[in-house]
Order: sequence, then structure tokens, then C-alpha cells
Amino acid sequence: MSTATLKDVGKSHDNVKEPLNYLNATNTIKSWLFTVDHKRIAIMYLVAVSVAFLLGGLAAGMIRVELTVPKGQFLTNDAYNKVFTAHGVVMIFFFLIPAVPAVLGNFVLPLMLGARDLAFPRLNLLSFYVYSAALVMGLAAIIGGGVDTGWTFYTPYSSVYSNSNVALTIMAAFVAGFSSIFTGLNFIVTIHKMRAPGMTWFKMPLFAWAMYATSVIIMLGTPVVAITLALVVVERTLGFGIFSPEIGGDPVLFQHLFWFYSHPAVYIMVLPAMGVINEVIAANSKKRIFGYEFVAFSTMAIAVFGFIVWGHHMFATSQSMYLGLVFSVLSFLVAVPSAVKIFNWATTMYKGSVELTSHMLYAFGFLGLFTIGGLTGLYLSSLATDIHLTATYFVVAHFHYVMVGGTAMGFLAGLHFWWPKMTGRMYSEIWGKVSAVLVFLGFNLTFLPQFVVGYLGMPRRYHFYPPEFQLWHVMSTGGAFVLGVGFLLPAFYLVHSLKHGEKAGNNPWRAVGLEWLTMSPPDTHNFHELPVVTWEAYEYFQESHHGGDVAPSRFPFDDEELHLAADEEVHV
Amino acid sequence: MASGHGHGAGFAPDGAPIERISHPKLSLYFGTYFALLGLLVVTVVLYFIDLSKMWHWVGWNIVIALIVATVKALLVVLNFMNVKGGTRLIWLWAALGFIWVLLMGIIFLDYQFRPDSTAWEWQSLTDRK
Amino acid sequence: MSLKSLENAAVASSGHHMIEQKLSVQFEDLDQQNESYIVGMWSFLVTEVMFFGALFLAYTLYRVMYFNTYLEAHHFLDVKLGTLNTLVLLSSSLSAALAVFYAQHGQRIKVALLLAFTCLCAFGFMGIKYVEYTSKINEGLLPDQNFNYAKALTVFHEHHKPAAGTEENPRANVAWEQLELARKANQVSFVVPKDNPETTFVESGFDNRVTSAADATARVVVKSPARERFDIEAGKAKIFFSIYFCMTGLHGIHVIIGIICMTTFILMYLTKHPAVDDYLPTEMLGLYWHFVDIVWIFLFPLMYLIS
Repeated sequence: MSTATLKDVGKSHDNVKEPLNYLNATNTIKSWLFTVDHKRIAIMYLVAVSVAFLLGGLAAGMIRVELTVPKGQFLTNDAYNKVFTAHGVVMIFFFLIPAVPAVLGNFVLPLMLGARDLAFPRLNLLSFYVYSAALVMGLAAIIGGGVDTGWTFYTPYSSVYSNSNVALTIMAAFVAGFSSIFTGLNFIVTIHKMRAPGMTWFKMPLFAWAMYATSVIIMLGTPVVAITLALVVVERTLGFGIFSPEIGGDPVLFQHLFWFYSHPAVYIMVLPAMGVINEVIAANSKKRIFGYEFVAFSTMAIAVFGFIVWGHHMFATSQSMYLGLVFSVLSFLVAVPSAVKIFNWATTMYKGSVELTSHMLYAFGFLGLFTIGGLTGLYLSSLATDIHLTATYFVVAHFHYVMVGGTAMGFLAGLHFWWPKMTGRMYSEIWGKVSAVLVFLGFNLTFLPQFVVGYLGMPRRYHFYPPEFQLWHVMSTGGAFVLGVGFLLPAFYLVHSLKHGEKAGNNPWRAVGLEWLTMSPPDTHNFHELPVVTWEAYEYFQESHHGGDVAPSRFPFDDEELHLAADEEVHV
Repeated sequence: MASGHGHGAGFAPDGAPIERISHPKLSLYFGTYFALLGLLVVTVVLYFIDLSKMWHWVGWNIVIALIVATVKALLVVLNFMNVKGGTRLIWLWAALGFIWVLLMGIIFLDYQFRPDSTAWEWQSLTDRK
Repeated sequence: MSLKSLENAAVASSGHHMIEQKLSVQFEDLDQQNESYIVGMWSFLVTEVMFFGALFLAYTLYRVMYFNTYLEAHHFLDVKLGTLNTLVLLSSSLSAALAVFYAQHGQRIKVALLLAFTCLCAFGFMGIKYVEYTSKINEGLLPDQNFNYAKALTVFHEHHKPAAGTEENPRANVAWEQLELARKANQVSFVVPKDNPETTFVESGFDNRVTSAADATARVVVKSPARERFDIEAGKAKIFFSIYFCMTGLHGIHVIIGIICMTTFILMYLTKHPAVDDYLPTEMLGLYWHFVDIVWIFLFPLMYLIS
């Protein structure tokens, strides 16, 4: 362990020795593997989540290559089923659900709240190891032959008739669910109990509100899918029957229980990304988020309403049409809070001092793409049109717009926004912008054609299709390669910045937030003395009181001002 | 070192915490236990009595059994698990789970409102073939 | 760590307890720490409620749809053993609560003894469960490929002839009636020695296990309508037992986890391990154990006492 004393922290000695921070305080493998520091755990999660994203992306590449030709290129029917299942399972359970909470949430939330760590640091580490174990199990399942049921595991195919590694894959998803639950538990208690003195709920940054809502959904929803999937495994291995029609069971019951979680799961994926967007837009417009309370309440409303709309995934089953009507109406209503947020973000930028940094470009991408995704969701919420569009590529395009255009963009925006804080280095802004534009263009080229081809009747999960759809598929595959390049670029320039990037000050974006009070990278224990918060969450001054200076003076972006002696307190 | 803050409910003017967890006396535990035993007796006795004879509805047995079970669970939650002496936050999370699980009851409506078909043979009261 | 100087090994200022609690570095004061742990444990219990909730839902759904089957099938569950289990679990709940009380007062030996008693009750619970499960499996009621409702019903009715003059619930015999009709149509025949129900049990008609394609075609037997209806009823009963085994099995797994945790705690208390210097881990374990008890409080009337 380090032998530095309190006085040493934050001081650079004659510019010779780098100040002690969470990255260089200890250097052994053991100190990383057994760390309880939320920041180190976030970095480890980043590596793991990136591995998962790469795997899921490779599967996506295989799908797109396969689909360029109407009769399929190189995959058999079985193999194709396994590839798209792998893509779904890995991307959903191992990237989309954990990415923003476990990487950005873990890193930024305690800093943002003015806490020294999460409420349960050891639980945080356990959460990471459980995730890693789940990822290994998932990999083993895929390498060991894969699973061909689709990520939705519909019974009775998955519980009785499939001949693939269903049980192992389900167990991987089950274990990953526990990782998610532990993270959510940590966040809930941290947000309730460990805000800095003076930080009431309505002085909290909106990212924290988003993390709270996400964590509530995680706690209430994940266990349901866990037990449902466990029942499928029991049915498969022991022969118990609960979803089997031959003995009077109901496969639609499986779907009810599965979608009871999996619909709120999409809000687990998108709410954290929305939380990131709050921060990025406020910092890059130098303006407080318009309608803070509305955004906060909308976040909670999405979490609550998200639990009562799951039936819209089941319009084409034997579900009662009267219940379908109810779900349809509720699904229209759940779009309203999301729309409120989009309007609020747009209004935030109005008359703001907008800077087109790379993370702001990602945020713009989010605004546009999530809106398209959300609006196309309305076609699917409407019972009548859904009968035509369900299980076609229209659905595929819709959810990729909200999940990739939403969550992945939000994740990249946050990664770029907080990268200087996490690593103490600035990345190449030009490459950041190039990557953002490539992702945006590539994404649209990939998925806009899929709306068309889905409407024309192309079913999802098929790799043979009528030749008249080929044009759209070829466009889509072309776009996928551009998108792939766009996603790969950050891996290079971000890693490159670790050694060669310009050193970052503590507040390179001149943003408002407690995390920007700390050094870049922060000290292991974040704050010496917890700050006492007496200001609003996004207190950017519009008029320049200091001749062009828009950040309030309580948020210095000069390193010298942060060197505190042990007895100095950050009070305003 | 900062003085104790009431992180659950904010500061009190003198800096003391607003809410604190209090712990019950031994007698409460024993009292609860005997109440639970008594309710167990009620539950089992209820099984052997057919209330539909007295109160003209077949559903009374299950309703009363569930009420009794709920009372038992409440006794355990409030007393053994010390929610009665806990803070508001603890009370919130204790209540939340049990309320939320009822949400899944919406799934029932699907089965209630499906058009009757031969696929689902609901067993009627006079089902004797 | 340099910040250790900020830590207080504070005597709890509440004055309720005589035990010294240590403040972790991420917390500001003990009240915050205590409440955080309790809230954290409760949110975990909320996830457990949802975990069991799906099974309760499936149970309720099928009970409403197939009430007659449930009414008939629940007779296979032994109410006496179930009541005994409930008694055992309630007592263990009391001892767990008392263990937490004494932990708050720092009385190690009493805590260890009470936790040991709780463990003992838990073992008793699992023992009774074992007896129940083995008897079910022997009767052919484990709902896997060897599920044999016909055998189970026949054995049951051999041993439980209703007393003369008592009125049976007319809904409680749907499957049995179909079975009797099927027997009259010579679709099923049984030989059940009164002294040893497990042996010499022959069923003519059809065997669920298909060993080859040729076999499959050969085995298409024209069943009498009664036999068809019986098979449908048996299927519904299979669902009842699937849910029964899943719910009690899941509950049993939670009891076993509780046993493992309690044993660890007993050992830690006896060896004065620093992890149990604070009463909070024991309180959290107590919360878990009470939750396990609550699940059983609901399980028992719903599964065993259907009338």
C-alpha cells in the first residue's frame, strides 16, 4: 500500500513526480484484482465490456455478411440461428445492460455525489467477478456449439426440443443478472445515503437520477427473468413441465414472465445513456438543463411505466386482445416522458453556448437516432400495424435505433466526456469527431434500409429471402462496415492517448459538477473533505461576470487551485 | 471531522440525525412468537372447516387463509425484522417488494379475458364426465 | 492508507448497545453506516420477493385454471409434516431474532448458541423435507419422465378409503374417476399388493418411453375416451407437482444457504473473528432468515391446505 500521507495528495513536487492518484498509487496485479476502489473496478469493467462488445460485433458482422446474398453465403440454417442468438445474448446481457452503469456509473457516481466510494465497495468487486464468470460461461456456451433459440428463449423450443447449449447459456445470463443486481443495490443505497452534505435530491445531477431509476428497475425486474430462465433449465434437464402445452402448461406464460423483465430491461439500457446525455449537453451548452424537475420526474415515470407495457411484445400470441388493447394504450403513454426529455434537451441548447466537441457530436447523434427509434416504436405499439410489422426487420431496425443509436451513443459520449477524468489524458479531438461522424453515418446506412425491408415483409431471424430485398440488405451490410470502423476507432485513439495524450487538467471541459473538483485522475479516496453543496446541479452562469468566463469561480479548472492542505476544506 | 448528519432525512438544526433505528425489547420477540403459533393453529383448523357451508361462497376459505398468512407475515416483518423500529427508508423498501410483486397479477387478466376455446378447459364446478 | 487517520472506532453514540462498531472509510457516521447496510439488505430481499413471486404467480394461475386437479393432487401432501415444518421454522425465526438481540449486546456465546439452535431447526426442516420428497418420488410423483399419476392415485385410494358416511368434495376426484372408467375399459390394469405398494405394479396400455422410430408407430394405441381424459388430468397434476417441487425446492435451497451462512457465523463467533465484532452482519443474516420464514408462511397454506 502507499506510504503517502494526507498532505502529499494533490501536490506535485516541483513537477518531477506525478501526484498520487488512483491509477498509480499501487502497481501490483494483486492491488488491481483485489481492489475495492470503484474507479479501478470501473476500468476493469471497461475492459470486460469492450471484449463483450467486440464479440457481439463479430457476430453482427457475420450476420451482415451472410445476408448480402438471398440464398445465404456460408452459414447453414443451424449456424445462422446460433450466430444471431449469440449476437443477441452477448450484446444484451453483456454489453447493453452493464455498460453505462458498471463503467461510467461506477466511476462517476460517487465523485458526482461527493462520496468517497460506493456504499458497498466489496460488493462492487464481487459484482465485477460475477460478471466475468458469466462472460466466461457465455463464451464457453458459444464455443461449445452455441444456442439456436434466439435470445428470447421461447418455450417449448428452448425447454424441450432444442439440441443446443441452452442450459449453459441461460446460466450465463442468470449469473450476469446477479452482477447487475449487486450493482443496482449499491447505487440505490449510495444515492439514498451518501450524497454530500447539502445535496438534496433536487440538487443531484440528473445522471444520478438516471442511475437511481435504472437501479430500481434492475432490482424489481431482473429476479423475475432469473427464475423464469431457471424454470426453463429445470424443464430441460429434469423434465418438469410448466410451460409445456402437452400437459396443459402455457408457453405464453413463459413469454409473460420473460417480457415482464425484458421490457423494463430496455429502460435499464437507455436510462443511463439518457443520464449521460444530460451531463454532456449541459456541459457543452454551458447552461442548466431546461426543466430539471421534469426530466427527473420523467426518468422515474419511465421506470414505473416501463413495468406495465410488456404485453406489446406479445400482440401476435394468444394473449387476450382486450389486454392487448390496454398494453397498446400504455405503450403509447410510456413514450411521453421520453419525448419530454428530448424536448428539454433541445431547449437546453437554445441560446446556450454550444461547443461541438466529439462527445457533443455523440449526444446529437443520440437525440436524432433515439427520436427515430422512439417514433418507430409507436408503429409497433399500435395493435393493428404491429400485426403486420411484428417479427420483421422493422422491429430489428427500431430496437437497434434505440439501443445502438441510444445506449451505445450515450456510452461513447460518456466515455469521451469523462475520459480525461478517468485517465488524466486528453484524446485526439479530431479522431474523436471522425469517429462520431462515421458511427452516425454508418449506423443510418445500416439500419434505415432495414425499416424499408421490414415493412416490405422481410422476417427477422431468416437468412434466406426473396431477391427483391437484396438491394436493401447490401446497403445495410455496407453501412455495417462503416459502423464497425467507427466503433473500432476509439479503441485505437483512446488507448493511444494513455501514453501520448496531452495531460488533462481537472476540468478540461469547464463543466459544473463535483467530479470536476477532483484531480484528473482522482485520488484513491476522491475527496479529502467532503464538499458541502449549496448550489444547484447545473449552475452555469450565462452572463460572463469575469469578462468571457462562463464557468463559476467555484469550479476552477486550474490545477494549482486544487492543491489543498490536509486541513483545508472545500466550502463555498 | 464533520458532525453526524442525518443522511436519511437531512439535517436537524442542532446537527443531530433525524432518524435512528431503534431496537425492541425481548418481550416483543416472545410475544410475536406466541401470536404466530396461535395463528398457525387457526390456519390448520381452518383447513378442516368448510366455510362454504356457513357463509355460502366457496372462496371464503382461501381468502381467510391468505388474510391469516398476511397477518403472520406482517408480524414477522414488523417485529422480527424490526421494520417498526426502522427508518422511513427501510419501511419503503420493505413495503415495495411485496407491493410490486402484485403487479405481476396483471398477467391474470390475460387468462380471464381470453375468448373461451377448447384449448383451455377451465374446470367448472360441476365438471363430471 | 493515509485516510485511516480519519476513521473513528466510535462507540455507538446511540447508547442502545454496548458493542463497539467500526466505521468504514466511505461512511461519515455510524447511523449512516447501519442504515445503509439494512437498506441494502432489504433491497436484496425485495429481489428475492420478485424471485419467488413469479413462482407464486404460476402457482396461482394454474390453481385458478385447474382447481379440481389441485384439490385432488394436494391430498398427496402430508398436512401433519407441513404443520411440523411450519412450527420448526417459526421457532427458528424466534431464535434468529434473539440471536440478533444478543449480538447487539455483544454476548458472543449466547449468539452462537441461538444461531446453533436456528441451524438445528433448519436441519430439522430439511430432514422433514427429505422424508416428504422421498415418499413422493417413491409414489411416482416426481414430475419427470417417470411421473406415474395412475400408480400414485391407485396406491392412495387403496390406503385412504373414505370413512363411511363422510361426504367427499365432489370436485376432488376428477382424475380418479377417469382412471376408474379407464380401468373398466381395460386400458389399465394394476396389481397392488397391500403390504408393499412399490412392487409388482403393472400397467398395460402405453408406455411413455419411446425407444425407436419403429417402436413409436407400434405404440400408437387407441385409447378409450376415459383414458384420454385421464392423461389430460395427469398432465395437469404434473404441473401441480412441478410447481410444488420447484417452489419447495427453491425454498429448500435458500434454507441450505442459510444453514451454510449460519454455520460460518457460529464458527466466527466462537473463534472471535473480527468480522463479527459488529452486530450488523448478524442482523442482515437474521433478515434473510426471516424472509425464508415468510416464504414458507405463504407456501404452506397455498400448497398443503387447499380446500
